Amino acid sequence: MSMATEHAEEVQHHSHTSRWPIWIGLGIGAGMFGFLFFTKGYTPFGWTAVLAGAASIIYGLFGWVRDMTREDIHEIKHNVKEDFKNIGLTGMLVFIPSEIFLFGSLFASYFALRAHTPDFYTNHGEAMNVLASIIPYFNTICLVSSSFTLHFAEHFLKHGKQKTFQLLLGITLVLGFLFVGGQAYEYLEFIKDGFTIKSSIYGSIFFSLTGLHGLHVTGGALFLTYIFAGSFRSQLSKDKHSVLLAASVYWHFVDVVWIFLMMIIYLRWI
Amino acid sequence: MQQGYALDNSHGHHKLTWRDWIFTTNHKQIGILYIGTAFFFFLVGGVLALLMRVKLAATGTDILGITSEKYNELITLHGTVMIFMWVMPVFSGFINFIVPLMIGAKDMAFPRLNALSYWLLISGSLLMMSGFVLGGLPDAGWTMYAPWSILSPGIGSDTWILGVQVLGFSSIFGGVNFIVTILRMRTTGMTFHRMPLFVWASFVTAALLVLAIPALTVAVFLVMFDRHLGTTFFSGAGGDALLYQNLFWFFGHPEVYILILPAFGIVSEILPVFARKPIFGYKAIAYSSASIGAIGFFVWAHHMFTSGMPASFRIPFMVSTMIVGVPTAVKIFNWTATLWRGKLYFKAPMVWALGFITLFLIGGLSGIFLASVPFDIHVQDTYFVVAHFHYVLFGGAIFGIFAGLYFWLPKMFGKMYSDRMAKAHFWLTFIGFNMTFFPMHQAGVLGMARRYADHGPEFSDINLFMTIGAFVMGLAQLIFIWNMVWMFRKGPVAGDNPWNSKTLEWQLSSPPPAENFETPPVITEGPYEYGLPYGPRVAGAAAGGGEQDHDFDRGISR
Ligand SMILES: [Cu+2]
Repeated sequence: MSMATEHAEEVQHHSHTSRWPIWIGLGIGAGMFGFLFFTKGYTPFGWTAVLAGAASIIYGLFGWVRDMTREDIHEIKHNVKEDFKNIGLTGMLVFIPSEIFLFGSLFASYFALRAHTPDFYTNHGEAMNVLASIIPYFNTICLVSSSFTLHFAEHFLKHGKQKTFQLLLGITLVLGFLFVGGQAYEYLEFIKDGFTIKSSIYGSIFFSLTGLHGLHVTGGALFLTYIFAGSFRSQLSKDKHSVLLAASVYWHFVDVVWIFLMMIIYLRWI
Repeated sequence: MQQGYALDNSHGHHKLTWRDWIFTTNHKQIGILYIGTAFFFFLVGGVLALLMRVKLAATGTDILGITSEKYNELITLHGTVMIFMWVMPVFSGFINFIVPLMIGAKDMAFPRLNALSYWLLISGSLLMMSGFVLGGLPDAGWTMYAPWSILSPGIGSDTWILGVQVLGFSSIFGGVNFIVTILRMRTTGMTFHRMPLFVWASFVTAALLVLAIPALTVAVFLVMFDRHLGTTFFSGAGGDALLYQNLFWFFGHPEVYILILPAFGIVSEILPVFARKPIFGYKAIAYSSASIGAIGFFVWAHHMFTSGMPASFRIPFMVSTMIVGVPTAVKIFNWTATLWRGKLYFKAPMVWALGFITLFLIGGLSGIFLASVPFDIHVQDTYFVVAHFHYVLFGGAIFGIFAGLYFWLPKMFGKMYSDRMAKAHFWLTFIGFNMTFFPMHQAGVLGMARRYADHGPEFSDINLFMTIGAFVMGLAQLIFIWNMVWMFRKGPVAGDNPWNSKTLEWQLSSPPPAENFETPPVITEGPYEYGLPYGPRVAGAAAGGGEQDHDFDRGISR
């Protein structure tokens, strides 16, 4: 009986509305309309729509994150029984196969195009030096070691070592953003050497694959930044860190994709 | 009302304001928003189809100003709207409304993400329709085959690409949400083997959404790059148009199961209720859905038998395609066996479900014809193919949708529609459907090519007949709209469980309260224990399944 009362109280707290999804959902649409206006030649309209869309997405995201934060703190303070422990992690584990098929489709395209193009790798001159330079190795070291630091961060959180956890999470973030910076530098070098997305089929698929991966790393790093910021407001504890588990699974996944990129695109082992 | 449910219906039934609707995160409101939006686009897609039929009714004229170029836009938008903006969202609506109720959950796993999926549907649909305002509609067919989608001037292809991209995000987020809901939100005792078959079908559909759509995402992104960044993925130097087809159909074939599996689920719910019998072969139906979904990833190249693929690839794809016929036939046999010696009540949902089985069977059989390489090469890109996929997607998916609507509308709104009008809707649609699409088999075998704005004079009579059939179908939908208007204005109160069904959604008030279950129900047996001596499936509820059947007899005339 008391269980039922408690449950009913919890129900009262539940709201069935949220203002944020519509801002994000329509904001994405507005941004896309901006692109349509550009292709149509309506440049001022295009900028208006893109900026309005971006503002609306950011507004929605901030509100969403703020609500999530409040609910987390509420749950921790009132020690609400967690019916659906780690449901965010389940969501991530279901989402990652989708990502595997996304990268898989692009890798499959890479192999198909390579098979049909006789001089796939040749005629890229100076750019090939960048490809074989130290930058991709530097990026690899950053990303792979960030997976380890994140893993140990999680480990220390579970053992209640909050300070060590924050330190390691901070290092993970620095390594993640170093990777993004490294890749941006590499792109600039390529462009200097005249190797761009339209210089050849190889360039097209190279920039598509590494660009898609880079976007994922950026997204993952922002996700970790949110958690890092939250860790100072005691949103995570040794029993409650579902969101960290989800983020770290994602981060490891992005790391694995990079290893395939390195082996296939850079080192051409496969 | 059964005992054991101390339902408090006083809360959660306040009048919803427009703010409650646009900011809602409740699965039931979102479900209704999905269904309403989808139905609007069903009407849009239907008008586009009628315009195509008007053009084809005669030869050699631009009747109503429909030029060949306009006709290309019509076929593109008709296919796109019907697939991405009608059948997919309407099933998302059903899954949203019904699945949490069926598994005894309070809501979806991620209610805000659920609302985001809906608003992405709106954004994607607006992008898809924006050509009407911005000037320049997509005209490369719903498959957006390269190189035409790349070479097509104007912004038509861009509206399509951006629109489908956003709709894809909506579906992937929706799919993740459905899967997590089914995995994690089931109430006590709701094991996988006690889940209603609609939940099974939804689960497989969601898995297909999550896994198949990324290939489309990649394909259309690369088309976008070819159009605007000067790459040559699919056309020009080093470009590979076949790669586009492979990516597209790797998505495209599982997509047809996304469009049909929920209908399988709906029919599996309706038949036991209106035959007052347990479903025959519960596990066989459940696992056949799963295997259809799995095999569906290994058949895509049957769309490309004449595309210049290596001949040695044709046979494996022919075989794998034919294998899909096995789990599909398992379903048909189980449905038939469910009807066998049942106490059949021919109410509107049942009539539509039986129509579904009839028409889907024809479409399934012509699909096996098409899987066979020699026959497929003969009828490739003819009206035989058009006949086939309309039998499975209209005769299958849409008949399933109407069966589901007539089944669950009383639950959604608490009001009952006119059964007579629903049956008139059925018969007129059924007759118009067969007038339109059955002759297409013949036209196709005789060589009438699809996607052309015109045809030879030898096909004049048959095309006029098909156009008349299309208008009969169009007329039939007006009956549905009128029935809905009638239901909302003066439909009688439906009651909580008008069909005396045993699945959980019917054990709640109509419409259900905001939080669904005051206390989570405890499940002790399977969902289809009709006409059996032991009692209903909820612990603590009154025993006596037989007595309930008696009530059903009295309440509803055959
Ligand atoms: Cu197919």
